Amino acid sequence: MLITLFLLVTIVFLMFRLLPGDPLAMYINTDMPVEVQKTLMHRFGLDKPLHEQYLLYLKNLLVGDFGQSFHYGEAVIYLVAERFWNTIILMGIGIGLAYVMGCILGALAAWKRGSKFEVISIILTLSIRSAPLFWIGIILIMIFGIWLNLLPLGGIREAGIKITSTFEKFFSLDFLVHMILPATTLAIYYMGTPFLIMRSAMLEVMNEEFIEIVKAKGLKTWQVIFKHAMRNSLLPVITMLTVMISFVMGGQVMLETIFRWPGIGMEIVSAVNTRDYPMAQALFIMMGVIILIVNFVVDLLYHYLDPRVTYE
Amino acid sequence: MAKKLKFFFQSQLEVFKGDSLGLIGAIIFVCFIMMAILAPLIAPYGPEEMIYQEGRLLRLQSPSWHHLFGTTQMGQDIFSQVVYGSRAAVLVGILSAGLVSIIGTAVGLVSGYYGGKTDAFFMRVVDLAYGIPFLPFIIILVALTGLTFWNVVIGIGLLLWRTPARVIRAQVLSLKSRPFVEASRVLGASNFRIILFQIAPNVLPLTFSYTALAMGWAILTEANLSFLGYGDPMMMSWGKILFRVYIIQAMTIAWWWVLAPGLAIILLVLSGFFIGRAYEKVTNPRLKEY
Amino acid sequence: MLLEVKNLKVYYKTTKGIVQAVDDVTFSLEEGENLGLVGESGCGKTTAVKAILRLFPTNIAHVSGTLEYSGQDILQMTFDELSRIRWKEISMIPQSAMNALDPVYTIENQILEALQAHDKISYPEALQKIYGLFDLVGLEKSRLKDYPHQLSGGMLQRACIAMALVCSPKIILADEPTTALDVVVQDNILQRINELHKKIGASMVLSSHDISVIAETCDRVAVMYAGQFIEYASSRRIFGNPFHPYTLGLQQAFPNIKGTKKRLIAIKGYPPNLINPHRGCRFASRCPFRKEACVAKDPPLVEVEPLHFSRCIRSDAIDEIRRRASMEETWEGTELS
Repeated sequence: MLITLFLLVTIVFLMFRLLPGDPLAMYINTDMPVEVQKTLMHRFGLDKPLHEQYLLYLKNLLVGDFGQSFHYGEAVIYLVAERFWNTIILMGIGIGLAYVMGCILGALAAWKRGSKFEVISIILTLSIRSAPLFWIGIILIMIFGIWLNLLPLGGIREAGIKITSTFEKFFSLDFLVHMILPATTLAIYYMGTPFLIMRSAMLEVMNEEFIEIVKAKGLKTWQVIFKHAMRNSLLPVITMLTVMISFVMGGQVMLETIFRWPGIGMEIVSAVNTRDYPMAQALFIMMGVIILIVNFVVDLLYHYLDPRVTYE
Repeated sequence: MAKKLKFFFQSQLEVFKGDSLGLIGAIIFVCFIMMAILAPLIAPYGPEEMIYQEGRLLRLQSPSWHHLFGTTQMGQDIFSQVVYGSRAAVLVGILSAGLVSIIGTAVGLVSGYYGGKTDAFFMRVVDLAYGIPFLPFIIILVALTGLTFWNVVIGIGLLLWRTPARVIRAQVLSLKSRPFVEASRVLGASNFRIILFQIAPNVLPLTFSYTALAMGWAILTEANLSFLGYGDPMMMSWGKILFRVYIIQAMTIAWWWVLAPGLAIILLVLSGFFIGRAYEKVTNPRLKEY
Repeated sequence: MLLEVKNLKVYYKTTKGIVQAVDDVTFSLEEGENLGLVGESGCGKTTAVKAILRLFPTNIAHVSGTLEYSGQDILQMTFDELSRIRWKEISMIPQSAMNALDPVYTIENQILEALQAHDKISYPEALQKIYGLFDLVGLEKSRLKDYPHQLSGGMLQRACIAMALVCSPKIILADEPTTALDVVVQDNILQRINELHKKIGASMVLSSHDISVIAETCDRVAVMYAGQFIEYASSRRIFGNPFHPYTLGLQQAFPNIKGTKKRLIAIKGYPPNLINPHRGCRFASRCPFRKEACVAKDPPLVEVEPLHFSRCIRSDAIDEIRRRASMEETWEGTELS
């Protein structure tokens, strides 16, 4: 896993340096006076050969030095840290909801095989998945924000409000209200995948002999579905998360742009637009790190869920 | 040879016979291809053509018989824009899907069949590909190398092959040990022959399934990029239509401007998903309904 | 009368048509009695046994008849009433213990689940009960905390037996309980089943394609063929005095320790397709003793001796039939006599 991180970091390095585009502009804003440029070039080792630059880059990363943002003029690491939590909370809740709803609906769809409910839910979730995430967001904004005027149109809180503590930052009613639409958009959009996987896994599990024995034991229907069938179907659903997370990061970019949610998704677009390469680089690496963390967590969960798999 | 081709096409039709959704998907897909090819004949106006009536720009008209999907802030006919936009969608969709499935199938075949160090190597590459966030990668790629649709296709091709590669590899692993492959080996067939004539044909339905799915993802990616402003400036695309309505925040009044391109995207991508599912049922017959 | 089944029909749908798996089956079970269902694969015995617990596959097409347990019709009960009867009054020993237990829960969890679904019993009390059963089946108590994949086939089957007994049911269903096991373990398990059900005073309905298993354990036997009972009598009468050609054929197909050494004779042909079965006796196409009358009408179950039923219209010629059945040539040719 560390190897993947290492390779990711290397790829980012190569991407920003080897692709066409002014190498100087990578770190040094050409509006600066020449002496400052020279100092920065020396500091970032841009006057050195590539392999030396690479080692310097790695060294800087290890101490958390991602450089200075052009746009904000501050150290990148602090700017990223602020936005990181905004993204994680929204993403966590949105995907969490998507999974819970997807699993329950998938289980019910499998249980009611061949019913109208099953067919409609398949077509509905597939249709939602076929739309761009941002479009779903816009539609929701149009309905709930504009026509019904129920929910705010975007942002993370009302402008001008003073926050006094971290608790207030993330648990205030204002924050939660602002989170409703984006989290719902995420949930509705990503619900499709766990739904389909849970359904197909359940269909297989339901044909297993132990399900029949569980029914024979006289257990209530919900116990058969949830305690036994669904629990056994969870594995492929959970492992799917490792595949999905790469797409989820992209979805986060679109979502945060639409809802003006100050997270790493919205920031990376603005960083690329303003050619703020230190920021773009750091944000990209941050996303890679999130993917790795999710992989790790899924791995742990997998071992917990399946007693047949032993720890290494 | 002609007989083999005939058999091939007939067997493709078989795939859709049992699956009504798949058939619908195939029909929709063909319709969009026709739309893309015949765009100038179908669209009443040019994609950027500004329409005047009685000397004034026909701004923000809601749908009518003259303008089926209404008009934009600049008096452009949205229906024409959607029709012309199908070209970008179909082009990016098919090209990307082709690239993704060729790379993915090749890697899956080689990795699964040869096993050992080759397999380990390719699977590490796949792991790495999954570790890279997809859309941000393409955004940066396109921003650095230029806003052309070819760069988008390449970007998609560089990463999305990861999914078919893994799945096809799994299929190859199970096919590899089957009696008919063993028999070929005993008869002295070379590895190349076995891969090409024994294994590949059995993996084909899966390839087609992922080609259809990849087309859907590619179209969505292109829409996302255009919406962010990274679209190819030379082409009209559905994402670009949505970019324009969002930039001026016109969705408060022009619901048709938002709905039309969105529905077009949904239909085409959905058709890809339906076709993909139809082929998936060939590989996994248990998904079939009675 | 503990269990009374009348005119049970179970059909299910397949892509090729509707299969009449169980076609008009009638039998009864007294207290303390064991009933055996014997027949080849696909004859419908598993479907019939599972029907007693109202366990039907998802592609079920048709169910009719009555299944009365202590006066109540199981097929007409509400789901709640059925849940109360399931396992508590009628339980089941599955065919393949390896697949019968949920792989993600411990053995203890699953046996407890069966108990707690029906009785309000405290955990320590429940544990004591289970320990007692484990002693009876010969399993170590430590095995309770294990997961199914950690036990061998024989151990799993014993755990399943313990689980089937835990609510002290009145009827135990055993669907091919020894088929998935090797011969040595088979014997062991059979013995245990025999002892244990007597110990708790339960009746059994056992199904098997192995006629020796049935002979060892059952008081009454029903021979099933193509979804129907073709012979139904006490175990002694069926093996000593069989009336139906199929039963006779089965006897010839199994080795006999006593008597002269002779070759086993197989019944040629295959069971008929149960989708739209043809009129007349279903065994006729394979029967060396068939006559035209056999295929003209569906043969009814006839009482050929007290409490001995056979679905053959040629039972009057039984002595001749028996004589010829023991000869190899009879089963070779396609004699129409």
